[in-house]
Amino acid sequence: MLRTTRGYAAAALGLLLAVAACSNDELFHPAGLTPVDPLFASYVSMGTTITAGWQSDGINDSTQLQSFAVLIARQMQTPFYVPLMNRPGCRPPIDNIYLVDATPGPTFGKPHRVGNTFDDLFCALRKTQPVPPPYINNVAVPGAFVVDPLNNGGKPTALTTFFLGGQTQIQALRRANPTFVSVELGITDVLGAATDKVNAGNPALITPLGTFQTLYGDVLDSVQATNPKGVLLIGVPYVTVVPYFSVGSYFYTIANRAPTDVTPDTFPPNFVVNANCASPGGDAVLVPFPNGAAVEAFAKANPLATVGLDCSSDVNILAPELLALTDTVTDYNTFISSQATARSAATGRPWVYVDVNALLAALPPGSIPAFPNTPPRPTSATAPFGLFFSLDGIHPSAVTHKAIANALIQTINGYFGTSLQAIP
Amino acid sequence: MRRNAWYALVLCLGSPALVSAQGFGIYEHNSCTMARGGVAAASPCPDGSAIFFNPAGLVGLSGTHLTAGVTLIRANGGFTDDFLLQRTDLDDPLIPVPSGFVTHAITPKVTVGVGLYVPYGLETKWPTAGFEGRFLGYNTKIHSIYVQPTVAYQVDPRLKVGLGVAYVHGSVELNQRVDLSEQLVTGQTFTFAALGIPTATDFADSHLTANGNGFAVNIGGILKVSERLSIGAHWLTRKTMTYKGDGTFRQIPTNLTLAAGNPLGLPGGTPVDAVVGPQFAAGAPLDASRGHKASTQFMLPQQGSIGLAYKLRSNWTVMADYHYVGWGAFHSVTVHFDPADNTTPDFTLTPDNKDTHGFRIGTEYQQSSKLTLRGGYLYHTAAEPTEFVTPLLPENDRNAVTVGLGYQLTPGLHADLAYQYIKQNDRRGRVFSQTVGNTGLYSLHAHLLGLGLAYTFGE
Repeated sequence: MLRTTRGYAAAALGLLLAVAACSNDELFHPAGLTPVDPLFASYVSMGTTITAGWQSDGINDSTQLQSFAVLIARQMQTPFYVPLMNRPGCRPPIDNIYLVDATPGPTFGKPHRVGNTFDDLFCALRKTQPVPPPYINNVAVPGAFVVDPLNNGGKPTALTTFFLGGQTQIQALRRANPTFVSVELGITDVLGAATDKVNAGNPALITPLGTFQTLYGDVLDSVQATNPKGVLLIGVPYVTVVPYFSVGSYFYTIANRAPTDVTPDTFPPNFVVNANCASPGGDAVLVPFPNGAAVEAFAKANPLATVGLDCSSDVNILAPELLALTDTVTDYNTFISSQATARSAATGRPWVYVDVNALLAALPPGSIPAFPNTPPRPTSATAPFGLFFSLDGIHPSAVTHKAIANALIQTINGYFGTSLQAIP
Repeated sequence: MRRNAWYALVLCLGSPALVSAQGFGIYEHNSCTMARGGVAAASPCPDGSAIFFNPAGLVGLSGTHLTAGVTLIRANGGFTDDFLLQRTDLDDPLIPVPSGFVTHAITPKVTVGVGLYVPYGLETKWPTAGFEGRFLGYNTKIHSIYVQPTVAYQVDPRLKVGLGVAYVHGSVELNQRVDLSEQLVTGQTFTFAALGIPTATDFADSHLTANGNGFAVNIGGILKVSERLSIGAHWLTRKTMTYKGDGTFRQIPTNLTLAAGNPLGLPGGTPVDAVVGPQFAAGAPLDASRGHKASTQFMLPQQGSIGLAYKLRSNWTVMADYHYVGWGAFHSVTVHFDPADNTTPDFTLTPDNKDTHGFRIGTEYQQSSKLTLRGGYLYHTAAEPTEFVTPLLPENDRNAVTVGLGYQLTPGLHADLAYQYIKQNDRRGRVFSQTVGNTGLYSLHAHLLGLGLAYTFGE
């Protein structure tokens, strides 16, 4: 009996020692950071201002985290490193477009921005995070032209260095060893022409189609070389649909409205709209915000100053320029779509074209206001361009980023058979 | 940048204390002992290796013995990143660890000897390409030589004692990369990371060699309790070693190019390498033309073992040892900079090590007059705390099994062969700074093959 007891005791002690001696640690995945599908082990988003999270003519760590790319990555539950900028930003986003600096000086006439400043040249430093990002997943850079992912050869700003530290988007993408990539390029190649302050719609500023095709193809070659399992090619939105632009004839209609007209907008008498804005000619003229709604707001605030709108001025997008812009975007998207098809066939893996204009068209009616909200409307300060566009009238708001993210999630699930959850 | 560049050097120089813990410790100085799981406190092998394992064990060796051996160590392991699951394998070469012992019995009661052994002599080598831990260290070499004259004396038929004084010469070579993103921008209070320079941007290679000398005392005793049972113990004293180092820096091209409109106000296309290049010029903090002198002192900890040997039969012995190393003495290491060479202030690291404990069991079976069979098992705890598991020392508790044999080739010549397999428990560790914490898993196992030849003069 005693011998048996000793045997059991020895066996138990041996087992205890064996367990204690062979205690292995394990890999650690924080809750919420285990990808829902191996496809999303490393998601990299390339692109421009939109993907980077630029809103209200500025960017900081708040707007960056509202980017559709960040939202999708959250649903993927994949680690997603963003080159966060310190607040107030670089440059700080506008927080009231109608509150302009009235003091003579370098910021005279400029809108108010986050950080209680009118300074649109200020640039905060890159945020140094307690845990330095080992690589960058959102490699998009505001203002990136199609040439920039290859060699930063466009018109880079300080943000190019802050975000990528001397790398190109392609170099940064390689460091992240991507399994899934989204590419959003092309808008800067037409938007710069559309918003040119001297000659809006200047065709000389549009990246020629041939050049775009060559460079875009080179970018995709580099992406393909990293052997991702899935790629989204996000098309180019028609820049002329954004509420930053208002149709010239709209001004003429309001200025000459009939007493029975129920259109909510009214112009003060010291805001004079030239007859060349009348329909049908004025239908093909786009008036940028600084030359239209901002001037009208100024007229309301300064009833003794007579100002107005001339639809033949080069500061507006004139009919031939409008046609060139829309044709260019159409041609860009045709090419991007064809690349998706061709590269799917070449790689045997889905390269999916995303028609972003269809997404915009699916927004609820009235989402894109025909004319900005101007003072004294209460919404003129908080949502001058409606809920779907930020305070610069060009870039999507947080609401739109969420809508884009949900649309992309549907697309991804449809093409890749995944089950990403929609963002509530 | 100066402070940070020197920090890299400091980190290098401070490392010997860290890397000489259990993970880099070698206990396999003798094939016979290695084959029985390293158990030797009460009954050292009769070949002179008692000089290290228990000096008292020299008594009883007749005539003159000459023993030489080598242990070949092949370590395999790697680091697996938590998120991307990318694994980087150790790139360690096959490491030979030599040993040699000479003993001479002056009288039946007095034996003297000299031993040469290498208790710390491993190498940890990681590839620089893509391994995130290269900024903590990608190639660490430890070479230490102990030369220990020893005398042993038979006090009475039951008690033996021994004393040795070891002269220690240690050298260390440490290599690491320096991350540009962590360096201060010249004239600014922020780092290059605040300008967007990516994490893990190699811009300098740091190479350090350092040497130190010292003495340690090794004492031991063996008590023969009965014809079957012996107990023994030995103790190696602690000793403060002085290491003097010479670090050099070499610029690594980043091949990064600043975009136009960059915050430094430099023209677009300016190479980042040109921006940091002056830091490597003569007189600059990273002066690549000369060495940078620094020194540190740290204490080699006390260690000892106590064990027993029991003869089950006349030809079969079982043994067990408990082994202790006082690594817990390493709470901190202060690095002193030569004020004649640079103005960098002293720096203190706090590895906060723990004492280690080893448990060894072994057996030896005399198959015939010529052949002896051996086997053993050991378990050893780790010295490194959770916060200090780095590429320099990815260490953890470990288990090992051993087998081996001894064979009498001629009346005077004896050969021993031993094999040991070490399995270290997987352990979470880090490849970035301490603030980042542990981001992956280190694994390690090793194969050791020992061969020894012992010649007895006059047989």
